[in-house]
Amino acid sequence: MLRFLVRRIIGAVVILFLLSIVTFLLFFGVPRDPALLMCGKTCNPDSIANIHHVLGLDKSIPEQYGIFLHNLVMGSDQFAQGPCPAPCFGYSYHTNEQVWGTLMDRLPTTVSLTLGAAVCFLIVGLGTGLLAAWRRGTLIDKAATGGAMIVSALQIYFLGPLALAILVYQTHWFDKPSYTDFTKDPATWFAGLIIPWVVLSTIFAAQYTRMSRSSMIEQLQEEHVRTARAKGMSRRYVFFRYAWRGSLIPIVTIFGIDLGSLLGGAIITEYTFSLPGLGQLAVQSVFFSDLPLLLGVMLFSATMILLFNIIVDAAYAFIDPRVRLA
Amino acid sequence: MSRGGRHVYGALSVLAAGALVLTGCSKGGSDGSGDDKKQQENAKRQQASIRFGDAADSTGPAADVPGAKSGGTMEVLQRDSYAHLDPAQIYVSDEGSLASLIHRGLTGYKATSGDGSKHEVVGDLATDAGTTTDGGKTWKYTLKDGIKFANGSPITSKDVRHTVERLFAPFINQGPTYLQQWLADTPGTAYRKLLKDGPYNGKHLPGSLLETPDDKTIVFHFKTPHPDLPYALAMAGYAVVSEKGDTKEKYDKAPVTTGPYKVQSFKSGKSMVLVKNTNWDPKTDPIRHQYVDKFNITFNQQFETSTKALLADSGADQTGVSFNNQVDAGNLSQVLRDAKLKSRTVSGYQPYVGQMNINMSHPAMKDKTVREAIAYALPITPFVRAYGGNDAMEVAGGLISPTVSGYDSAFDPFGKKKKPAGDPEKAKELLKKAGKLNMKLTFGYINTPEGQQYSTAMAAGLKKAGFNVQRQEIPAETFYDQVSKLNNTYDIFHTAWGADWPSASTVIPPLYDGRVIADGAQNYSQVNDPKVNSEIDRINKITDPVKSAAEWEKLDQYIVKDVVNVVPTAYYKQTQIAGSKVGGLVYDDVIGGIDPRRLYIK
Amino acid sequence: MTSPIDIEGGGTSVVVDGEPQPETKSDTVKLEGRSPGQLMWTRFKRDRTGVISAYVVGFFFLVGLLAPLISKLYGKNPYTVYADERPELFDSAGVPVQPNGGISGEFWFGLEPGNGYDVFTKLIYGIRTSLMISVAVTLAVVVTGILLGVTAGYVGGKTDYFLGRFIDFLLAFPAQLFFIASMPVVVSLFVSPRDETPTYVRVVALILVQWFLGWMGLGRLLRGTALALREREFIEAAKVSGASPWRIIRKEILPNIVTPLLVQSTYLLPGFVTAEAGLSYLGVGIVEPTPDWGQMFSKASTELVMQNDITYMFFPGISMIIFVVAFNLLGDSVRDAFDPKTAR
Repeated sequence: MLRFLVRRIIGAVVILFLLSIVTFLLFFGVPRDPALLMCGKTCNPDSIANIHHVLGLDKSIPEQYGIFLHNLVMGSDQFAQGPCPAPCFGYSYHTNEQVWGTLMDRLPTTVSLTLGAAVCFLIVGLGTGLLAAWRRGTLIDKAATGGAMIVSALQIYFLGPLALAILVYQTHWFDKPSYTDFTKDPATWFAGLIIPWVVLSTIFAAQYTRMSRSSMIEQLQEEHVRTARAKGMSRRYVFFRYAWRGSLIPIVTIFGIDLGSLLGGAIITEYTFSLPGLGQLAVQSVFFSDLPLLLGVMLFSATMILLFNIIVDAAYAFIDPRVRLA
Repeated sequence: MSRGGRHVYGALSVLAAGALVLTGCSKGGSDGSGDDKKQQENAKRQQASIRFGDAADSTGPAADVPGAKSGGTMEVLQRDSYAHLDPAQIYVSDEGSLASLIHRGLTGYKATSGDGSKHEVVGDLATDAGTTTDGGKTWKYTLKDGIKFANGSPITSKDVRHTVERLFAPFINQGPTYLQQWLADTPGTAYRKLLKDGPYNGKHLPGSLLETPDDKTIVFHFKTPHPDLPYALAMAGYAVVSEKGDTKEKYDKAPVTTGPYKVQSFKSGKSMVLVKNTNWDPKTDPIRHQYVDKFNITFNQQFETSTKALLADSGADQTGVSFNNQVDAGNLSQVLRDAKLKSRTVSGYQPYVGQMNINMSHPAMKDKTVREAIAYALPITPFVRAYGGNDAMEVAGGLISPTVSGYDSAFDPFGKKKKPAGDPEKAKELLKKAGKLNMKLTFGYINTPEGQQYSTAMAAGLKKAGFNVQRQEIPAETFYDQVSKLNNTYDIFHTAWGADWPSASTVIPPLYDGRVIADGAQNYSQVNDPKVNSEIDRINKITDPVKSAAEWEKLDQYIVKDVVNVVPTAYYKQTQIAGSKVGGLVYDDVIGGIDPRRLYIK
Repeated sequence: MTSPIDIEGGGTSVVVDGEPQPETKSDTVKLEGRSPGQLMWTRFKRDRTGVISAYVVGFFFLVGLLAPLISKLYGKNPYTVYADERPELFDSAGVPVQPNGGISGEFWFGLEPGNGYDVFTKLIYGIRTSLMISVAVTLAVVVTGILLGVTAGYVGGKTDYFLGRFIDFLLAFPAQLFFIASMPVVVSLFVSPRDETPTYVRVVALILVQWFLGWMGLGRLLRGTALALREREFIEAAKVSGASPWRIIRKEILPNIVTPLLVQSTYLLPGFVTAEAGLSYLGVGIVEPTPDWGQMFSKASTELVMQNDITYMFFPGISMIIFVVAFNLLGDSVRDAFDPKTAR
């Protein structure tokens, strides 16, 4: 187990390292100069050169990359804005705030959005899937399968604005979605996120319905399940005790991957509902050519994806005794 | 607020008006359309000519706001956190509103009418708006008695000298540059050579430029006349900075203030609390009041959020207001139609005027007939539409906004007010006459959703008149940098400009003086017309602000009608709202929004 | 006495000629000489859902293909600014005055709030743009998947290892974020300074970025298939008989991966359609005035539309749902037709 974890983590670090290089190169491919954005109203070649110097943009790209890596691991007190402890992504060009601080500032929004939606879509999706499998071939099954088919074809960029238009702009039943800190006011937190949760989880729930149904049906045909049934155990007992647990394995995999990519920033959802999470931060960092921020978000998102991949693989060992981690 | 990139951009996210409909089917139209009457009402409301006040006008305290009471806490909902508190870094209007409460300068605007439309420039820290004996080359100011910083130390001429000198320090790069340029007598950024590191290395401006013979007297010497100095010194960017309390870059987060309020706490991006400054003496201040005990400012309140909260008018929001947030587009028509809300809303013009620049440096654009064809063909409706219709934009005639002294509402040489969608037939005729049918016209547009929308429709209108339009997108954040490059490739592009003070002297000279054409300067159309240049010099020498306003308007009409280097598009409007217990709610045309100094709690 | 060679030569089937194995089997099933393709076709035709879906999908492609002709017959184009041409139909903010987004005998699907484009022509041209891009991405992904996947699987060893790690690396990319970050870069590679940024540049950029992060799934799948095939007897035989690796890949392996390839591409294409629309929705894809599905969604999410003209949203919305559902059903049917054992 330990060897497995060490190997996977080393692999993940290598990938992150390569990703940071790609992002660096990508940034320098953009024909925009971040100095122009910071230059203010009295912009002239001198002040641009000065900003280049302050930002370290006058150094060669490998050199800048070296400094970035050093700061990331060791931290730095070379910044004019103040000290920057590790993990130091530097200070945002645009807001002058510490990137790590900004990321941590935005994280609760994304976590709230993701977890709330995950709870909804797991309950609804798995529940509907189980029900459909339990009542296989009945009208309920057909309705659930058909409904899931159509709903999973919906897109957030259609469902989101539609929900906003109907619930907020036309009927005024809800306020425009917004984020309030949970610790500050749980009720407002809940009210502000309910529409994004419902929209995000609707689409996911449909996918989980389909998955859990087919996974369940597959399990019910497994031999150990059929044996249990043949031994005279009740259908209900076999269904929940044997088949259900087995059917969860593929779902856990997918769920881990979904969670990882959502925690890295649900870009379209956050953009649609203007929620100040990591996804929105990502879009901003691109629009403002904000390299430190872009690197921060990019690496953070990728870390989430990789981390959850590892967790899922490790979790396998617990859920499925047949898997041995070598 | 000159070309105010981020500011204009932010202010422009105004969208359209609302209708109540149910799912699936929608009623046509967005109710705000029948507003001809309102337009006339607005046209009546315009800046009267401004004069400079004498010692009597400059003596405090300010006349009481009728019905005003002292005490209470006011909640202020703001969208953007304040990036700068150092006066020398303040240029954008939301920081300007804050500055009106915490900073004081040598001069300031005193409202002389209850509705915020009439003003005069008076002495604020100084005893009068300034005296000149040689037509604006030498200006003398005397400080009032009993003026103190919030920490109790007296304000002396040394502090004023320091305030001026630190404007030249490299870290001061966001504020206005008029005074620096006038002292150094150069355009652009060359003024920085005058005092490279500011006053921090023991160097000072010579007595030939700035004299402080005693603790009370300040004398400015310019090589050329600048009769506008009293206006310029009223900008927040020239408010006084304490010499002893100056912490250079760190001053931006914790300045030593002078106004009736001081910053008790400031959490960037979250909140700010303003409390009374006990060292502020109302007897020295002819402009400000100190009715409210405390201002609780919260940031990150989007326009929808603040509007909704203030409309709901419950709890703390009853004493709520926003200095700078507008009523969001979604609620705008509802708010404007509701008679009950009338006492809680104020509307007015922002100082911006939109204009389509025609790049005079391109050979093809040197033909006046072609430029006239553009002026006739250009549809203004797409622009008005993109920003929310007649509630948010008004088709412009000239380049001088209704908030600026000298505005003439009847001026409309290309019939834009009658035919806002353009006159392609007439334009085509002109283009044929010039023999340039199907000529290429490169249109640089700002890459925002609004920019994309109006530029495509404008291009379609120009195409109808026989132009071969090539649209080119320009990233929003660098838009103004790109179009102010001398060798830019755009034949036409749209910019907006707001006067820094309500005189056309901050509109016409920076935008249309042919001698200031330079990379990064604001003569976007690169026009160099001898008559315009000589008129600018002539009017700049007129010391009577009322007379000069009339002359500027004449020059404005000459530029639009005879030079045709720009086509005015629209005047920007906005509406703001406050809670029911907020008193003294007035839209101040100079501030371009609610006047925070007059607010009280009912 | 016969030589061993003769025995071999006199065997039932000759594998060297490159016929895939199933074919040789069907030879032995006497007169019922139907190829797997034919079998699949018969099975597919029996699947009513599949056939209907195929018609629906075909209809969308036809509409996209014939968009210019249709709009010519209809007499309008998606570029006319009706808000300026027919100002009486709009208010000053560009919202159609007539109810239901200005639907009328003249404007079948109404008018777009804002500049007042004709929604009907905009939609059919939008479908055209989106489908064009997605088909191109799918083709590029299929070619790359075959090249890299089959190479990795068949060649094995170091090549396989490094391609595998490369795929892992690309899979760790936050895809959407990468799309947004790289679109401006790719566009800037093509931009000419004097003229309008041509639409094809954006189209090419969209194709490139989606292709770059779109092929790994298929590549992996094909690698697995190729890996399995490599061990099969007929490949061994081809090797022994001295066929070049290139010939083996072309003649032995490719015909055997057609099935998974076809099934996977039917699943991939709607995914690319929705991803492309997502990028245009975020404002980094196709922009006004070029009609595009995603760009219509982006318009539909403006306050102007949500507030005043909810009808407009349903045209891009419903059409995309129908398209995606039909395509997914078609994918299922194709899969079932190829592999009837799969439970549904």
